Amino acid sequence: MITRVRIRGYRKFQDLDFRPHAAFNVLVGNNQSGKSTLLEAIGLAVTGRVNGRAAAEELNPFWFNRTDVAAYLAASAQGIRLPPPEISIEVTLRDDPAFAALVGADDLNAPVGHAAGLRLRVRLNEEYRNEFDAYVVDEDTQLLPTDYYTVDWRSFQNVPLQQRPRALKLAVIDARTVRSGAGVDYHLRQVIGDHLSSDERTTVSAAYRRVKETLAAKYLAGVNTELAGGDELLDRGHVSLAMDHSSRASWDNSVVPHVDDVPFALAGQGQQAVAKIVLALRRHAEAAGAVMVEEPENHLSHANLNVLLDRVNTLAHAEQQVFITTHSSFVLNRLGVDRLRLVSDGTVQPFEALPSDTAQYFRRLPGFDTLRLVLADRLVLVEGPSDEVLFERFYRDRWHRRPIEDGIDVFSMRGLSQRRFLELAKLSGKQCVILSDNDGKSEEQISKAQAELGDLLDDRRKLLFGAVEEGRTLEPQIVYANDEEVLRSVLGITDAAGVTTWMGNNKTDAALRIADSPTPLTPPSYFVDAMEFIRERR
Amino acid sequence: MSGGDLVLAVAGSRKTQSIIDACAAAPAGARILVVTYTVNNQIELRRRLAQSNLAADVDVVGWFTFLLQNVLHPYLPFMFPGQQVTGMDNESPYQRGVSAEARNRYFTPTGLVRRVHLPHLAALLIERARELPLRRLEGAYDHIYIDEVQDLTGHDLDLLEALLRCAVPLTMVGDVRQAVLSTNREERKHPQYKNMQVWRWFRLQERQGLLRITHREQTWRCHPAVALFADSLFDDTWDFPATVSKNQHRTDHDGIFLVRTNHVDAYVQEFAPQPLRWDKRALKSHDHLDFLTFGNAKGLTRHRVLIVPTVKMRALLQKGTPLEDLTAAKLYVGVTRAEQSVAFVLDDPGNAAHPYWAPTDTTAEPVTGSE
Repeated sequence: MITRVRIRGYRKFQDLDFRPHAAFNVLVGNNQSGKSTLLEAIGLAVTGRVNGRAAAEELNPFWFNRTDVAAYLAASAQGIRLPPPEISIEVTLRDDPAFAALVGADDLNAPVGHAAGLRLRVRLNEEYRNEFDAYVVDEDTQLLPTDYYTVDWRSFQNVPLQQRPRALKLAVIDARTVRSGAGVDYHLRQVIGDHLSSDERTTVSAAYRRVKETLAAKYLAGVNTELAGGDELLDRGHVSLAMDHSSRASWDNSVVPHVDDVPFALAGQGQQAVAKIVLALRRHAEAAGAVMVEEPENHLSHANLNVLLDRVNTLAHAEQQVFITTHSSFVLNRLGVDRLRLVSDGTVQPFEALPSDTAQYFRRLPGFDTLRLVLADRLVLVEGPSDEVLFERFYRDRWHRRPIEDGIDVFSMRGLSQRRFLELAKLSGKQCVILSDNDGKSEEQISKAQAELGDLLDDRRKLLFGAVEEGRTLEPQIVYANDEEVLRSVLGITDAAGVTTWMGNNKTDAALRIADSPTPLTPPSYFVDAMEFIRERR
Repeated sequence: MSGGDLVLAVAGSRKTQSIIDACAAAPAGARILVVTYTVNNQIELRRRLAQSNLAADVDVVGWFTFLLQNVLHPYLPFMFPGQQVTGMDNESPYQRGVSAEARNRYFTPTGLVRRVHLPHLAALLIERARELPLRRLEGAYDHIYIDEVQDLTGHDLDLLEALLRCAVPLTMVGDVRQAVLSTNREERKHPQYKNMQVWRWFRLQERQGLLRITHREQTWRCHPAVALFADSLFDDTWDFPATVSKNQHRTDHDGIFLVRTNHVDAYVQEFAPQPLRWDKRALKSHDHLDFLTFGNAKGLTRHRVLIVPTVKMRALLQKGTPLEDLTAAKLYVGVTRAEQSVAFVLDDPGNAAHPYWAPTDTTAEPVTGSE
């Protein structure tokens, strides 16, 4: 449904141009990277609301991009007049007859074509221009005076909107919290409302009114007769009871979903999350819509999460665009790494170019910590746990810091495919180095293996093998690089045992003993190359 | 598919009803836009649509609203990025000597769009936006009807031409013989097509293959004698087909009559006709009657009408002097309001062949040649 999201000046997003996938988007990013903000912004433009309340009511100075505001205030303090900071959120919709009424110029300043879409802008109300100028010129001003701002919500037709256009279905499912006391928050209420066709809604609403009238006529009448005989109020009025006919008491406020015959609010939080997601995804198929799910992994056991993700996968269809934020590699791997959208520093990066067999590869490894790989700054990929431990130690010996303190994440590949990792690293633009045993390959075979990876290897992505003459795996390489007596004492083994054999049989133990030893060892040459390569940011 | 249809319909041929019927026949889900110029006609269309059982989605809008919603608001950034539109200014005069590229030709300093220049701006926007507004209409509507199309003039004609290039089926209904209003009196574009001359523009589009013109020449309203007189107002060069009357009703006072001024009150007493005049300066001696002007009478049906002719109309009745377009159109509107009879207030019959009506109990001799 949503083909493009442009955000300018809103919170993290100084200038974002994001083109989501038509069916599935898994948004990942570090904490505070702007995942939720992105969903919130989409919701603002599509519904004019945030947290169930009109944008104008929720508007506050922290909505504005901090950099924008700081630059503006700094200039104002020096008497330089720049245009006041603005927020603009534009959501472009796909070409669809249902959205025809929302079509107009695709940009307010430099249109190149037209499209269906919605635009929410927060701008200075020119009527308050003088008050605003007087306020911001004061150099102590830190925050924008948003009381002088106005929220302008329109379709691309450029006609102000009063409410969400009917053709647009957007459900927000926040599995993190259950908001209102009744357990039915604004979003869920909307989902229930959208779930019913207009005919059904009319029928239910009429029946509900009839029930209320019957109740009043049949049972309240007697009570009222009694009340009428009671003491008079001021002006000789009497108290009587009647049903509440205000919108507060409309049918949808009295309807609560039940999960296995248990009222929604009393169901487990995991059940609630699943129920919300299923309700949102199962709406009438003819309506194009979008569903935004925040962190489905919360409140769910591993098994339930699995069930839920299956649901999400099967219910998503061409007419139903899904946005999911997650902190879980499991969710990401299951839903597909190619659907990943990495949110960081106010940008959103797609991974659609990831070959489908690679996405499939990670889907079969749901337990693998793909997110750690994607979110890392620089990566070192090693063969196994003992390599991981030793890399840490050698790095610390050399620079007296842990790699992670320099933003370097060290990972065990545990025999997984180098090619798949490199594809992911290439797409996410990671600087990385893979340390590989030569396993007895000749120089020629190594060159060939590297050549086969083509442009997956370059100045920022290296695949390093242990030197052929220095040993097949890490252990002989260490033996090669160090004095045997020093090594024996570090490992605490007797003369009787062969060092290489012992280390080969006790890989993890050997690595831990080296790591814990007060005596530093000399790293194998390919480790040195890797440390120097990765330490320098490129 | 592009191009469109023009249904040229005589007065009383139920042309508005033909739009209502087409809307009622449209399937569920069809999106239909009905555009018309006058507010009265919008109200009438909405009222009649509300009474018919519609399956389709039908919107009735005025011509200017149509331009605002489909062209100006969505596509203004193509010409004036950043321009705020706060509303429409109906009073702004024609901006003489202001460039067609200038913002202030189209907008007041407070951001009101000047209605007088809105059609021109809309035509320019269609061009600047590379006809995207037409694509927008194609996405939004399955059929567009324009009622009373003869009211359009000047830049409106350029907009109609654009609509003819648009793939949405366009059906225009109107009667150039009733071209007594124009959307824009001061407009100087296409002066050769003003009022009834818009017929020449339609014929040009037809020759260029953009327009199919069909005629509805049957009137259910006007008595044959009334229809014959109405037809006679236009000479053969117009090439209008003769009106066929389907009015079978007969009374003892059908056709065209003359009435002397001093018999007007008696005539009104006897037949209760709708009195019509050019403007309120005519026949001031009878201001107590419930006069309508020709312009205001448009769209109405009356059993009988009583017309106060202008000098030119008198010359037509007395000497057969042909009328110029606008007068002919106004008289046509006046005459065709009537189902059974039209009476002219005329004291000097000249060569007029129409019979005089006089009250039967009167003994007074008609006064001739005085006014």
